[in-house]
Amino acid sequence: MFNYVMRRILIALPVLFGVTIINFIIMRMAPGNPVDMLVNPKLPAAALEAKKIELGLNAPAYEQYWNWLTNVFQGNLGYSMITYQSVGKMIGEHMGPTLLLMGISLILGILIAIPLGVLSATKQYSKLDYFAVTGSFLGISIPNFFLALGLIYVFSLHYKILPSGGMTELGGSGGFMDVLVHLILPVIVLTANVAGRNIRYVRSSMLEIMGQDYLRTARAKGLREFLVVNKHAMRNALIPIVTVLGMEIPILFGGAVVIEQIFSWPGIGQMTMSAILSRDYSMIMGLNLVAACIVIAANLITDIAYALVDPRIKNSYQGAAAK
Amino acid sequence: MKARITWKKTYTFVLAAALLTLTACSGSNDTANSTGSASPSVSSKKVINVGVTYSPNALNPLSPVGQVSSYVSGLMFLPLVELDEDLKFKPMLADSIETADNSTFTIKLNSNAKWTDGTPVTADDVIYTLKLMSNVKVASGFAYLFGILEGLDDSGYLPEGTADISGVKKIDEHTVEMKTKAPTTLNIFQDTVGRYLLTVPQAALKDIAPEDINKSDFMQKPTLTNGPFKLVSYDRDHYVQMEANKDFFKGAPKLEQLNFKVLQGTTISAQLQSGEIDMNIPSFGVIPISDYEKIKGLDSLTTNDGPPIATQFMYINEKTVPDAKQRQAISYAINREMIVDKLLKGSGEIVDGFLSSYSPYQDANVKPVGYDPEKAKSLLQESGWDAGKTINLSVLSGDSTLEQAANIMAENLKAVGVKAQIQMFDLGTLIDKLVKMEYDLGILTVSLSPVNPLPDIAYFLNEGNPNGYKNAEIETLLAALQSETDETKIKENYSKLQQIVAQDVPMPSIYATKALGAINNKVIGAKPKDFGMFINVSEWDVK
Repeated sequence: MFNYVMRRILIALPVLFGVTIINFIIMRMAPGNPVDMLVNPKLPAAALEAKKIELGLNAPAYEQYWNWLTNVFQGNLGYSMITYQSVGKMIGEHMGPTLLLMGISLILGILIAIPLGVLSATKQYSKLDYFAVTGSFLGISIPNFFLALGLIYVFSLHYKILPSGGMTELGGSGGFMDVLVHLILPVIVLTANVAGRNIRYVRSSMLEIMGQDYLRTARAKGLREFLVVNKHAMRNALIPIVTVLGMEIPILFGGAVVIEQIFSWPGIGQMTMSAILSRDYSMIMGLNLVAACIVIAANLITDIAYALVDPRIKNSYQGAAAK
Repeated sequence: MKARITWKKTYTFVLAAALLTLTACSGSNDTANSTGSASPSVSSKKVINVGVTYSPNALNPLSPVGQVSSYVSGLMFLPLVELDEDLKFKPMLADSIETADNSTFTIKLNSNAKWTDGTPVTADDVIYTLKLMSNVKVASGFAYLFGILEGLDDSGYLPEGTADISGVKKIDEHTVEMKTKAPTTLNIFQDTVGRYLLTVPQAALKDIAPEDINKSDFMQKPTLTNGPFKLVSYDRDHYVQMEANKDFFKGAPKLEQLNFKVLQGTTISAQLQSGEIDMNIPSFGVIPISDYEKIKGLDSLTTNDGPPIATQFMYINEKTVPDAKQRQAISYAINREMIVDKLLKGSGEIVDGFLSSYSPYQDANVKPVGYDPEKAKSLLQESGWDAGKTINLSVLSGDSTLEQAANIMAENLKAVGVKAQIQMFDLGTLIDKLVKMEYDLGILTVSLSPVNPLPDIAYFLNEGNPNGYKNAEIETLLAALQSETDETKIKENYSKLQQIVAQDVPMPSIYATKALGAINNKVIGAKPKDFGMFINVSEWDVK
């Protein structure tokens, strides 16, 4: 297992390297540049040139990439070309709020999806099943932004009981309750989405398992239905779900951009958008690298988790390592 | 049955536990207050939240990026003077700026002005700041405004190897004298040096090399300032949190905090309504026009229609549309009355040349051309326009009013036989296309300084302009305006310019929006306005 993980990490390095090169090339091919965004285009040519030199954009592209890469190996992601803040620090400051929002939504989403999915599979065609399936369809098909705006309208504008945006009240306490009330609306939106997607996966995976022979055997030997479902059936049904959950993380990162913008959530989603719109090259490179690392790590963790829940996979790793 | 209940209970428990753990983590990780006190979210402090739709990109007073950054930097580092909505300059850090001959300007600083550590703001600080901004290594975005000063090159840089700016002299601790290369009106001097020189403290910065100054900690969070508010925390895309400078030399602000919240347009209206923000900045905290009626109808708010400032200009690539008749035809073809009346619901003005009615230099005799599709058709026919040709109309994406206006324009053009296809771009791409002249028609919002529109007009019309337009007569006029100091003659020249532009139509404008300002009735002494909103900020109060 250890060898397998090490091998995966070693493979990840060239992948990351490739991702940064492709990102660099695409970014530079896109029209526009940070100088245009920083200063008025009506500036004299000498002033535009001075800004380029100051930002290090006058060097040939390969040299700029090389400088960036050597800095990264020294743990320095550079400075934002727009705000002059350290990229590493900015990402660090905004990653927390994003992870908080995504983490809660993911956990809540799973905690809703798994029991509902299992129940609706065991009670197929019951009222509960119809309710879960309909809810799941709603969760998937209502666009995030629409649900978000609807919730803001109801809870912030009409009843005025929840804040419509931000993470804390500016000038307020900034304490636990403050963050909690700001979390409610964005978490509802993201949770609805995560739960919606996963109820169907859990349900269909469970339905497939429920018809298996070994469950009939389990029932035949007199096992209680509770154990049949929760021990024998569910554990097997959840194996494919692990993969799906691994894919949730990149999806959530994408979805967070929209939600963070609507709720002015101080996470990396909105920072990514404005970095792209203002052609903040060093910021885009930094964010891209971090996103790539997260996706690769999420995949790796999924694979490891897969091995843990499914002994067959673990054996095949060990078999491969023995060869 | 029993089994199911236990099962449900377990999940409920896990769910509640997870929620509690996670939110508890958040309290300690992301906020200063880790005690988790359950205090109400509405604070009892005197706080005003201002909504903006543009990010304060960089608060560096030497080179603020974007107007919102300028507002925020100006609250920490006062400009010498500031332009108010009546287009008069009001004293800020300077008590007065005077000139007797339009080439020597005497700046008298407020002798009470002091930094937050109690030391006085001196003439040396002003000169030091000017030298920093004119240092090519600092690459300030505003250096070019100082190109009018003697001793600096036309881009506003101090030639290498020179230590001092020859045209700038310290008279005494609180007086600086500046000489301009050519005669300059007091208006232009105040609109450039007066408004954009935000004095920084020499004492705090003198040991930092100029090339490192933008990245320095000081520029991220200034520790020594002279304005009414100090920076508490700043997150470019979300907020700026400021607290009162109790020792402000013009008197301690009545507010304890002033915050800027970066929001989308629809959220600005929502938060005005919910009371989460107290006011907006009309052109920089844009309320969508579709929300105007709702906002105006709210009892908790007072609203005001701003002057027409932000103008939609149409760039015309002369390579595609070389004939003045064709450009006139475009002007005649577009139903601007309808755009202003129906789309803007009257909150706008039809503008034809470069100047809206807000500018003192607008010639009221030069009337915008009316909507006349028949005339457009005949002009196109006379000029031999190829009706089979499709041209593109490049528009900024994200501004829904402008997107709808662009659709009307494209329909209008189609009706007279000009096939225009709309292409939406983000700002970076659009500017790139315009500057490289990779467009046929383009629309961009530009706000010209009402008291000194010359730099922008010169950029649009002088050689090397992004329209590819050339007119010797206009170039002579612009050159004359550059050194004219007699206001009557300046007005005359602007009139002539407007007459030529009305005939030649190098760059028609479509409309100028009158941005809506809204303010909560609990706020006392403030008014949302694009110019001079924060001049009296220390008197603002809340009921």
